[in-house]
Amino acid sequence: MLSFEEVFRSAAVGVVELFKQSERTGEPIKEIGNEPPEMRQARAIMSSRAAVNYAASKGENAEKHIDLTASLHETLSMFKKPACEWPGYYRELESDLAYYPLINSELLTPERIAYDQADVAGRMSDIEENAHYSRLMTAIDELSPVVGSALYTRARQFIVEGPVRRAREVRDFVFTNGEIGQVIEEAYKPVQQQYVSLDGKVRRCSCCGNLLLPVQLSDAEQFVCRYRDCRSHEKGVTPEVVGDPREVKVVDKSLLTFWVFPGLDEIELYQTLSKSKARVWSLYPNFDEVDIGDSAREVGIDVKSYARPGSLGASFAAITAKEGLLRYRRQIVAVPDRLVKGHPDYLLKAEREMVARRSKVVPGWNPEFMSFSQVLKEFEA
Amino acid sequence: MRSRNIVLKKYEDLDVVCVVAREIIGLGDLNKLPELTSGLRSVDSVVSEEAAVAIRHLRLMGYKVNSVGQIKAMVESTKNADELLFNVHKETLIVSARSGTSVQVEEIRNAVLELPQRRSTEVRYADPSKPFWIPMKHNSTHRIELQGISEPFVQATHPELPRPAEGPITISTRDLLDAAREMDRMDIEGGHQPEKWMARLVKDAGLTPVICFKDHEFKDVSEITIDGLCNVLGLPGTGKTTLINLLVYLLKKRGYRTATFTTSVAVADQLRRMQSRYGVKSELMFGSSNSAKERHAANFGDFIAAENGDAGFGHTNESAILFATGCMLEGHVMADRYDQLPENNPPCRSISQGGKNAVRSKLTCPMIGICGRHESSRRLAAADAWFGHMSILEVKVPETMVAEKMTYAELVAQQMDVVFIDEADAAQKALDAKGSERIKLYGKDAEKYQKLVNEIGSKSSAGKINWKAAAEKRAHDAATGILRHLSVLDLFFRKLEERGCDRRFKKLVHDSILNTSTIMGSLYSCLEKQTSISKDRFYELGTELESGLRTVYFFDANKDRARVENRLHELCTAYSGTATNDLANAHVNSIANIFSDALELPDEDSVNRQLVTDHVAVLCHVISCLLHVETVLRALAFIGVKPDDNTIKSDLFTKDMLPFVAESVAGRLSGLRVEIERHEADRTITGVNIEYQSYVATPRLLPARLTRLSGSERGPHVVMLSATSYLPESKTYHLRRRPDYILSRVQAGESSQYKFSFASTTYRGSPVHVSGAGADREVNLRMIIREVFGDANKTFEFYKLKEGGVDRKIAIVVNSYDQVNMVLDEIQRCSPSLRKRAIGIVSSYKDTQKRESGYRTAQEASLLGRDHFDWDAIVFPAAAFGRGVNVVYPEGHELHGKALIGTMFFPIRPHPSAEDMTFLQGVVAVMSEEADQPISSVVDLETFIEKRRKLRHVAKSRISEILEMGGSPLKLGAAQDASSFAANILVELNQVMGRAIRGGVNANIVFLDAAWAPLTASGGFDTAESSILLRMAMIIEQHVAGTDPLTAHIIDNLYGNILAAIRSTKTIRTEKPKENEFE
Repeated sequence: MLSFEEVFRSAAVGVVELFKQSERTGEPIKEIGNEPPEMRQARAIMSSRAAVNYAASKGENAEKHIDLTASLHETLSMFKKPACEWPGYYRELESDLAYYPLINSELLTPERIAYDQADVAGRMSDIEENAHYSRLMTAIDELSPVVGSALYTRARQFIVEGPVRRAREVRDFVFTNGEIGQVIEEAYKPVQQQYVSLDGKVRRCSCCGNLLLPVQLSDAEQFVCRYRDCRSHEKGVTPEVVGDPREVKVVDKSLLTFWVFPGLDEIELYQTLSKSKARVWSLYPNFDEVDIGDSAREVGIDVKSYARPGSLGASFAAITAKEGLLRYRRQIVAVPDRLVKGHPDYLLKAEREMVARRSKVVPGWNPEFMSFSQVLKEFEA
Repeated sequence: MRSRNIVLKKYEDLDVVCVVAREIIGLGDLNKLPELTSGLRSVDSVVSEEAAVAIRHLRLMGYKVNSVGQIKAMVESTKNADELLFNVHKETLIVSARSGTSVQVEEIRNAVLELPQRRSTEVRYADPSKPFWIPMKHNSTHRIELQGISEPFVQATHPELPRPAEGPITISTRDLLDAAREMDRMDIEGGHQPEKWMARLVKDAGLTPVICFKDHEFKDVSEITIDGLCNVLGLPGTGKTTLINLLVYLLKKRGYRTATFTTSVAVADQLRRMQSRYGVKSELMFGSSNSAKERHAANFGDFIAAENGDAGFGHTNESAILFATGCMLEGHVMADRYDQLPENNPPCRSISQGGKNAVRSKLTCPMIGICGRHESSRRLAAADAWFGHMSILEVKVPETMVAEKMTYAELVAQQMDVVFIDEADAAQKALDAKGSERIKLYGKDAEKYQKLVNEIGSKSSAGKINWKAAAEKRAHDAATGILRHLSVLDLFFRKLEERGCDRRFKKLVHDSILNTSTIMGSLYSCLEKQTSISKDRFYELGTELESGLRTVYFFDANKDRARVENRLHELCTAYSGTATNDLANAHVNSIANIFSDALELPDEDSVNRQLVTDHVAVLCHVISCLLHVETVLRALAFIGVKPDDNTIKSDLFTKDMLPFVAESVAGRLSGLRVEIERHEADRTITGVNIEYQSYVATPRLLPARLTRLSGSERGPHVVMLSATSYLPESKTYHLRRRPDYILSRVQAGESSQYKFSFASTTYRGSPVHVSGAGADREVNLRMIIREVFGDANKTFEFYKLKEGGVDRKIAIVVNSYDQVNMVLDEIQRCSPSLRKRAIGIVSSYKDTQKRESGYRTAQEASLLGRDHFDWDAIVFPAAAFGRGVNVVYPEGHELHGKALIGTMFFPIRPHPSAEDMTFLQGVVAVMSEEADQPISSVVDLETFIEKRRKLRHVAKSRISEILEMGGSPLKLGAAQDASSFAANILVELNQVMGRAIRGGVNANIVFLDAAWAPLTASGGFDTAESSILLRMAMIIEQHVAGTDPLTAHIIDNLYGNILAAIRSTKTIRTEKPKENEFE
């Protein structure tokens, strides 16, 4: 029988393949006819495992053992929760993977972990984020490194700062950044009908800039941001009217997931740090080797917004994906204050987890876990 | 699915039939038996109670006595005739008893009168502790070994429950109000979107919404009594759905179980989810076949995607698990064999165990008791309320669910207390379609049949030696035999066209259903003046030939059958075994000579002898084909393949259901229909299409039969609800039972008004017709669209109807999805900017038809209001949206609940295609329904039988007449038929136009096809004979001004606004009809 990690990985591959397909074709997700075989197989594996678990339980709590993976839609819904909460499938879980959902329940896109696991399974090559990235890099390759790096930063900043823009703004960017304009134009898509409110207009969130979802509550229409952090924002969400949906464009879902939402904290920290003239900071320097860094490669900062410190520490135990940070003398992992405040000893736990899981000591690899406030204090911003 | 009593199994079928006919009914011969065993309840009025019971049981046990042919075949096939209890004359079918058999006769008599038991089910599960094999693609198998599972998960069967409630159920208005109040409270407590039941009941329907009609007057009633069959007619906007919801909830509270049937599984699921909210254990009934699962899973995917505005990634609802298609065994298939799994064909009941080379036995999957694919059927057992589509009734209940073999109809009849049939008139239409079957055998659209033949062929050639393989071989041989005969017929029709033939013969070939009766009828009409031979003799000759071919076909060809004239028999034998067409033709010529001689045609009368030869040739091939078709269908049923949309089209009720409804009054009429395609320009033949048609039963009787399905066991009360089920002229939609209750608006405000306009287009001075334009239909449709939307000054805004400052949308209603594309394409040509503001309805998204390219699926109809900013015009086929689906402004909008569509264009008049059998099915069903009614006056058995025979001839003639008319009202000779046809269209039109007046608003309706008022379009004056709109007006007027107050009340409320619109339009020129013109 397959191990939990193998099952999780096959589910991740299925999720990524299905999402890719639905983004590409726009066709409704159906069990028969257009379900990728990877997803079907993942469901079948989970279903057979559920049967064994049910047999082991000797028929107790039958209602908890409903074979949800027989339904594609139920499976996807289940993947919005971490595996430890999947009913009837897994009972004793030691793997860290058990605490990650595969699908972001707000954005309804695969989580980073799904892509990572698909990558491990060798299925990462053509996911959409990578597709945009590689197109962008192909365009930049034609340029000198200095110009290319600046353009890369400009393009990424353009997307992160404005996931929803008027079509005219996108056209202007395309016009003034000819080399990479085409890629950016392709990254922006028309607005889906569900975001159009009764007055025929679309609105965006004052916090993240993404589109707000109109919902009918009692007799009035209200607007909800799909990003949880915005909903829990102290000041609350303020809807900003963008205009006629036919004149508005929104950035591709995968870029929203991997660039825009993580990028909000990155931009916030970068802008605050930049107020200090003591050091010249760059955003996504040298083609994104770190989130924020100085030109002398003295300090590199990666911004991470993990809810669980254990997961953050575990992800830094292996450095293969963090090579960019290794190029800096001081390697800082910056965590937004809101996370640190809500979790006692967040930074300490993350560091302990990293040390505990580290299989070997790599020379020069010594990341420091700091909160935003600590970073700002350290660099006097 | 009841088995024969063990006593009866000892005796020959013929003996059992003779005991019923002679000893119980009192018939001297078996010729008359089919008139009594057709399942009509009127028979109960003329035979003894005991005889009625015996007849019902004969049908339930599947004795084949539905026609004289079947009885003769039974006589022919009975072995050891000398040992029978009765002597039956092979020709006259006169029955005489042998002496000394009284004990056995009494034994049979007692056994026949006992209600036959259902066959018990036996489920054999595969042993999960040992390896087993599942079928894979390409006839291969795969070994599966389950780990950690030692016992099969046995599915719990339906509990034995007491019979449905006895006695009437009464529900007062007070009860309904209390239920509404409770449900509203639950909405608040549960934090649900409030459904406002109380407001709907009081405000929309009026506090006392129910009236009934008794003793020739209307009475407000404060309660509804459900007792047996009950017909509730809900006038538009009076809250039928509200009533169903309240009743289901209320009856559950009283401890009753209910089943509700709707027009689609999607609507049933909506009701189910609604009831679940109020604590009613509600589940869905739908077929568990692979094709049904696939269809419903696809529809569910579309619905979830539409509801959430994207592809549906990450979305679900509580119904998802019911439509699940996963298989628990698939996870055990080795990764490298995974792609060999047959798609959507899990081995739920096709597992083999006992070694790879062991005899293959079909074992049930040991996981079936917990597998998600079967979750829906598992949940049904414990549910208080079942919801589904009528088509589920004929489906067999999986053997894992019940201890006896039965259909859902029997399960519902056994376990439910009350059955609701929503949109009962639409349900009646759907049931009518199950009374006949059609299979495209040859030519256009016959690929599926050919594919089936090949598939069966490939299976039968696999070298297996078992019953299934033998049945497959029989089916394949017969299926290829059909093709051989049809290719000869194809050639024959082409040659006939070249050399010319008698116009009456030509008419037969083109317009009639071809069988022995119609072919010999045609021959008689051709030769009537040249011969003194009676019409009966013509039929006798044809029957003789049919009988000869049937005998040779079914039995040993070399065996001497004295009954058939020797020479004819020899020729039939030779003909049947003929390998080449030339030889077959030679035999046909020989048979034709026998016919000509028998008809006393002189040798030198070559013209008429040729006519006989032509008829005989067609007759030989047609009979042979029909025999082959019967074999194919029988063999397929034996194998377990039900021809459906995926193979060949056949809607006929399954053989398990036929005993519960009556035979068609026309008897078992089957034949071939020929359609000859011609080149548009030179009219040469381009193709010959041949279809098998068969009229068998009267399924529309099922709702009434459910109350006492097997005749003796008590069944549920059945409540039929509908809005448009009352229009006596409509053979398709009118319910025979008069309404017991009418839901009517007590506080009626001003009703919605239509404004009709007729605006035809002319081309080179001639009016443009779409309906009836034949090959020019598409060109003409495009021309009309261009005329209306090609003017740059007239955008969609020009045609929009304003309501409270809001421009409501426009709709273009067509007849098919193909026409949706034609219209959108033409709008694109007229103006790309207009096309951007138009959407078309498709059955499902395809490569070129996607949401972003301006399409929506029919499943999204109820969600169209949500994206109303995205479009101005919608193009849809009239039948695309299910009944009860409202296209209205969404909550929060100032026009919330009012119709989105304000202006409706009809560029084509609804017109049944040549393939549409609805009208014909309705006519036959009404005749059968009439024949089913109990007889109040005293009639002796002989007279009754004679009347039934005459009625059968009349019914057959009517079928031929209607087929000859081709279904067009312009061709319909009798005013009665034209009115029936117009009434059907009126009901459908009312349903479609009703979408534009939802919420009490007005609507503009524009008729663009010249066919709506052809004489006006040509500058003349229309009458009810020429214009279907005027005929509709005439029908409505006659009823409103009639003497029956109930009819006048209903028709006025249902169609009064249509009448007013037709009469007030100035765009149709009329002249006063002459007195008594339509009587």
